[in-house]
Amino acid sequence: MFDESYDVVVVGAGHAGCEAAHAAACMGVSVALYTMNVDLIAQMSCNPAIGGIAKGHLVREIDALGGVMGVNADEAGIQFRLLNTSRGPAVRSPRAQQDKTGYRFVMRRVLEATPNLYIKQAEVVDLLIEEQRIVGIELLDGRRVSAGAVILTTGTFLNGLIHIGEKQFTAGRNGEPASISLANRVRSLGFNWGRLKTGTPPRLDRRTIDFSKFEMQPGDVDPTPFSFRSKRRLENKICCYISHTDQRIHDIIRRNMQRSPLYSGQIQGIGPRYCPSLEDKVVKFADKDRHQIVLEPEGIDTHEVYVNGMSTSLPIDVQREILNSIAGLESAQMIRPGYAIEYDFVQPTELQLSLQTKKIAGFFLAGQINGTTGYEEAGAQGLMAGINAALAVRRQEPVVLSRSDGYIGIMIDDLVTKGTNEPYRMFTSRAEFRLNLRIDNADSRLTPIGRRVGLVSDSHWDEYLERQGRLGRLRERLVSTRIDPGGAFLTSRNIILSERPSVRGILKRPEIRLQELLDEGVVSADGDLLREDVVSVETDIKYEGYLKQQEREVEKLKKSEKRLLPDDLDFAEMPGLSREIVEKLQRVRPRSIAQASRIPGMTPAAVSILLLHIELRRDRAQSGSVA
Amino acid sequence: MREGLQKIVSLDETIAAISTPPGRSALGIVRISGPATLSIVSRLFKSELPVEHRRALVGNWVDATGEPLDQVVLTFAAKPNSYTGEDLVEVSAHGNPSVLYRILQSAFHAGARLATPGEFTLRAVANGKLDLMQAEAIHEFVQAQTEQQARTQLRQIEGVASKKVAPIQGELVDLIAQMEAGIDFAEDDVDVLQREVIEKQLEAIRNRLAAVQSTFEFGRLLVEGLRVTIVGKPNVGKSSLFNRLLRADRAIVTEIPGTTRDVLTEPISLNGVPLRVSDTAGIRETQDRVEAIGVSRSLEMMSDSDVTIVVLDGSSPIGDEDESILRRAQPQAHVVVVNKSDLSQAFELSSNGARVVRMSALTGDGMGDLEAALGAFIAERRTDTADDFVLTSARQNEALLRAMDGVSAARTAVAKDVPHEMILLDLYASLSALNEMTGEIVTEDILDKIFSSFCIGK
Repeated sequence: MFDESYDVVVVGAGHAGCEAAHAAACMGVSVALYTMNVDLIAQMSCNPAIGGIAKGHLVREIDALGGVMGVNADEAGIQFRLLNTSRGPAVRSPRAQQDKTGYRFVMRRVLEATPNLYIKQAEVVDLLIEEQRIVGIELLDGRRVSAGAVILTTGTFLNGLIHIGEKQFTAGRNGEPASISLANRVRSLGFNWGRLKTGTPPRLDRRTIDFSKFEMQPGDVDPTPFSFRSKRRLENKICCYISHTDQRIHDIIRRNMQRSPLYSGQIQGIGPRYCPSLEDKVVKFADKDRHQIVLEPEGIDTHEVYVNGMSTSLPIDVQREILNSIAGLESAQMIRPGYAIEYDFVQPTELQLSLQTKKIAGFFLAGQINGTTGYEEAGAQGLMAGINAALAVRRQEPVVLSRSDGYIGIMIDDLVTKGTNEPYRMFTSRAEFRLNLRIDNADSRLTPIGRRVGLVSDSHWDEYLERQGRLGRLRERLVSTRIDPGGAFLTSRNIILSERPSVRGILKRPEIRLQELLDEGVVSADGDLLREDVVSVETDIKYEGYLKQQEREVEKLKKSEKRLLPDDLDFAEMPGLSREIVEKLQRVRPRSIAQASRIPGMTPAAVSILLLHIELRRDRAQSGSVA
Repeated sequence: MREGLQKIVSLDETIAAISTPPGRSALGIVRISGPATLSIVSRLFKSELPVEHRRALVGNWVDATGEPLDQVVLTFAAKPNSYTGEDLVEVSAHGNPSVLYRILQSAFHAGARLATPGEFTLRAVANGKLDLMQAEAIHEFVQAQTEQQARTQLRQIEGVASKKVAPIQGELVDLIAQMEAGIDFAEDDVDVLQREVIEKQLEAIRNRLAAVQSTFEFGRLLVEGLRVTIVGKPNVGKSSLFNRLLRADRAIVTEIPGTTRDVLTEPISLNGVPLRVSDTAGIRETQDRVEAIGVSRSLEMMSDSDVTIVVLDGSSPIGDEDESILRRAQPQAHVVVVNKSDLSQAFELSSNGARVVRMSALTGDGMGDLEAALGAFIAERRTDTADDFVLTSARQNEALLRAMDGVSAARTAVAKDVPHEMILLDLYASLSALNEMTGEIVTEDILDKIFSSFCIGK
């Protein structure tokens, strides 16, 4: 019946698939990772960069849990910048340009060194399902593989359709075939599905660019790594280059708008509210007279350059005209054109919070197939799907991160509870507990979970404990060290005090910085204090009031998350709920009062009624009475 | 989604709300129910006697710093023998809305949260105080609250207030969106708002909210009426004045001092504003127990009122009791009526700041002056709004005050260069308060606002 057998099968070796396969294998189950092209494992379809505001937070969280994106990005990174450095501690986020080829090599090396993980090149064409449970997959060459759990991480490949101007052709990515049979199989499963679109800009040959016309964007002097575990000194090896479009270019675009598939109606897929393509920017913000363009080298051993800000599906001749109108790009040669791609996605309301589908046991979806955009969003979902697939195989309860645990929790909760109609990307504004979810405390929040699950190695755990130890000791020293009112530190800052406060007390003043207290010897430093350690301790003290406020809300959320809704709750039977609300509840089947309250359109009265009914039901059960 | 948090009803929490008591009264009630009720009471209620089940106690309600907010009557019902089945306390305070709001706020700081509509009854059902049959009626109750409000004039008035607040809420959303865009899209060439710009916008928002909220002082008068209490020593003609104001013979007027034993309250209106005029028992030292109760109620009534009319008998010399009453009235808004102008006058009264009216309740001579004086008190409370808008709902008033608090806190934080993600916490709290009045703005609306205002790339 079956040619091969594995505990977990992962279909698609993109960023979601690699994290999923790695996680499940590390947890001790056998994993087969299928890809149509082994040489393109962990290929970056678009930006040659990892991280960014909110995305950097996701990478830190992946790293804290024991995933690989952070460590890999540090190794393959060629330019590092910490974003929002002049802003508050909760919104600073790392970003690193990557050597695309290097990143693929690193990921493949990591995967090949992972025990229990078997990489396979083959096209998956069918899903084998029996009685609402997935039992395996079938390959194009006819082989049938049995599996305890299957994770689909197919990115943009399902019925992928590329548009460049008036031309369209099927592809999963430019130069790679789409997945048609599998896509049609997924469509037949009865899930709520749709089409989304995304795009990518042209790539240029750097020898044909006049960089003197661009503003240089160097990396940080003291780069911040993604991973808490990174030992290497990070080096900036390249620069990026900034410029702008102007009205001339906007006119070119406007003149050719009817040839843009995005605007000619050729593309069916839903576009996002924001502006991924240059055409969108010019149409939606007609009075903006310039849009930013950033040239990002795709690697150190290649002359290929990515034009950030010029995602487009205009015809190739128009793309060339646009490029050649930008100062410095008059003679620029395209290596690859920009294009838009449409693809199938499954409404993530079909999923449980564990990323397992509600309708088919053992079947998990992660990444772009769930309607997200971004390597980081995909990687985080892949990690959770991998962990939960392994747990499912072992018949254990899944790990579900809450909105107060991290951005990963927020993303999955948003997707599963609200669904999405546009490519979902992460923003810090999605986080109601933003103050607590910082890059400097990702490990405190998540590493214990990774350890419990078996994904955090001994050496990773030891480093985590060491860091927690450093933080604890520093906090104690701040409380026990008193500052001398007559000492140089205070007098040089014109601060006059009548008593000797603890350093902790002094730190509450906005103008006092912990780093300065350490540098000037007011507080003794542990030899190996990291900059992040200082940030963590200082933030908790300076913004204690705000953090306490958030804590209270977190408590409230946690309590209501514990108020679980029984699986067999018949919403239609509850008096007082409108039909619309009953439908929503039936569709999402929230697992707790907390999740129910977040369904769009839920009213406080409806939440009260739900709560009332579970209270009454519980009381009835306890007293043994029958109503 | 922070908006989800607002909808969560947790039965483990202690809730508090301002309740309008049944019937018309000069009192307001703050109800607190839940596990932390007794601890809140022990921190904020100071009285000589200990709090006991079903005992009504007089005492002072203080805020977190110990400053007294009001003298109140506190009634405690211990679980499970209360309406909600939990520890429940009713704090009866003077009906001054800003005092009620501060009492409510002090309860929040001590661990309670605002009750959602119908939540006290919800708990009653959840705790088995109302039986299962009635559970079906709950949704009707909750529904009816809104239905009824929809039907009544109050709702219509509230609807107008919502429309008034909606544009201000829109400004707040714009500001929030701009600040969020400055955080999440700094890389996309979006400018970060300068401190001075934010300060100015916050000040503008707060002023606009305050302009709406300040009409509540007058609006409350429109709904509840101007509370006028007539006080004076026995037999100066209070009841005659009362009748004269009513133009009907309501009170019993006799020669014997102490005949109006109780407080009589009758509604009339002046310039479209309802007046709730109370006649009281003559204030004097007395051995008669019933009379003494009447006297203390009179004094209580006086401190509850918006305007006190102190009546003096112009035909006899001013006595100690008169002086004592005048002293008591001094710190409050009051009019001195020198009555019995039809008889020969025994003294001249210098006005020393207060309004003095010479009149005769018997003949009606001088009534016009009294009405003018009362009219002046009404006019003083009226703030000028361009469109004659007046806020009349106590619930909406409380929501506006909360919104204003959030904006003020944000402004203070901006001046101290606190990072924007922290300032936004206060602004989201304000937004949440305004949401109660106008209907919800959720995270997606803010994202919509950001995307439509700023050119954000991939």
